Amino acid sequence: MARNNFENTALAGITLSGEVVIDAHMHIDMYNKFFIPAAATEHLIANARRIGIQKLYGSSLLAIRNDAQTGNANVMRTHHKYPEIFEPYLVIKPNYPEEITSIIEFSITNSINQFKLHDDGNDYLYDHKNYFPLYEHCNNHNSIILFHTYGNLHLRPITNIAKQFKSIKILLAHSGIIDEQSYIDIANSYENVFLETCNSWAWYGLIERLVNAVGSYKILFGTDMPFMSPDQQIGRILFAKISDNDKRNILGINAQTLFNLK
Amino acid sequence: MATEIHHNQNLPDFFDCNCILGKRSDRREGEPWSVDSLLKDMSYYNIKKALVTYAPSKDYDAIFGNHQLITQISAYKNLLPVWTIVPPHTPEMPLPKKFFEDSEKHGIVAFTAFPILQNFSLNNWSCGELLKEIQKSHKPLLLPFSQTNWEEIHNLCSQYPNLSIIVHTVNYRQLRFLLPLWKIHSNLYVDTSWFSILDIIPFLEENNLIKHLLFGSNYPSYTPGASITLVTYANTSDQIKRSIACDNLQNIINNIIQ
Repeated sequence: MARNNFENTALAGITLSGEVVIDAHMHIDMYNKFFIPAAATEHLIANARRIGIQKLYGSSLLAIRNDAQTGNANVMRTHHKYPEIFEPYLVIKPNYPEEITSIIEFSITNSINQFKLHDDGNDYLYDHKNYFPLYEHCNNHNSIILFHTYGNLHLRPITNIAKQFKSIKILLAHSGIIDEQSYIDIANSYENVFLETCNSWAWYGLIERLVNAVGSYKILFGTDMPFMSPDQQIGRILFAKISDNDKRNILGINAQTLFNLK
Repeated sequence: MATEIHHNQNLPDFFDCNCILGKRSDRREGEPWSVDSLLKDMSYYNIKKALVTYAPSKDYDAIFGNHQLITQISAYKNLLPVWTIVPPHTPEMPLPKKFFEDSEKHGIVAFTAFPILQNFSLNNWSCGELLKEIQKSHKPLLLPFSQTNWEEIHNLCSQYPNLSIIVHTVNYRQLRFLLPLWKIHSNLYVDTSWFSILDIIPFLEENNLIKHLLFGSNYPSYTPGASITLVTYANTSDQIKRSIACDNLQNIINNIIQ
């Protein structure tokens, strides 16, 4: 297969210009389990700009790990500091049910219509009753929820949510990391389910198989910064053996539509 | 796209230290396995040379696989053969003298080992004789991270300070182990295939550790594209990119005693 402009741009390490590039999955704040040399928000933004990413949708690791309310305040501060590039996901934690109503109100006050759910540190499956106030709110507001996923463990309960709450736009993080066929099946079964690409295992042919199986219009690019380098994640899309239009859909066109940016 | 790129405009050449050829027991559907596919992909990704291990050496029989590898790739100068070792204490493995004579005859440039998968120890009482010979030849030892641990790597680096040990497919969570090890071992290297750490290349540059990072794709489990852009989009100079893409590994290979 001959290389075209996207692949040669990637080989030369040149900023993607004239293309819509949106990162649908990243984070701010710190992490305890391993050392990350450049986790500060200004580094994340500089990295994004060097590649040509124009928008970052991010959640707070403090919110995911410990304190949703303080972490959510952090993403709002970051949004106000970098309004042209950083858009927040808000987080609720099912093991702090007493906070959930106020976080939903916080989202309404701040006009934030996207949420991130992650079961890190708690054993609440995504169809646990404590999530339902959020799901009902999101269903009424056509909100986006980015779910952390790792295969069937997460996809089974998400299937119940996709079926019951058809107006929630569900984005599956790390699509295809394991149990690849299950991601394909759920995306094909539910109009409101979309796939997000970030994955530290750069499986050979995964992007191509997802495009062939579900269509590029259902796939969104994400980096998972600061856990992973956007330098690495962008190569999985730019070098994928798919059409330029498919690459454009994944890199940013689909996110423009999903996040109502047009 | 507004940016117009023309072929051969300062595109870095890549030398892949982590590549496996042949049919694998754990192959995912669609992953290539043949020499033809490998060569086509190398062309697509601008990978000029690769150290190549043969999958049956890992999954079936080390010695059988080693010799099959030669028949598969001897016609291709850009595919450099890697032989798999097992301890020389069971009749399956030739005596070290014969093994190394054969390896010289066939132009083997590196060795690898799968001690967990193939049930043996890399300790001196088991592999000392082999490892001393490999060290003497200045050929590198490739070790998949899944087949070892940092304590064993520390011991190997200490006992064989002139043996270049390239640990394959180290994940992005290992810097708390690696940074102290790199303070004491100049012969320890890792590859880029799973080392997807944000701004890792400028960080290594600042800490004078660039020589320890080699381009490796983990082909065909992983797409080389991810490792390539980890290098090409790094916030660093073209010279540093070339070091990681090719020169660091080439320096190790150039050191081999002919």
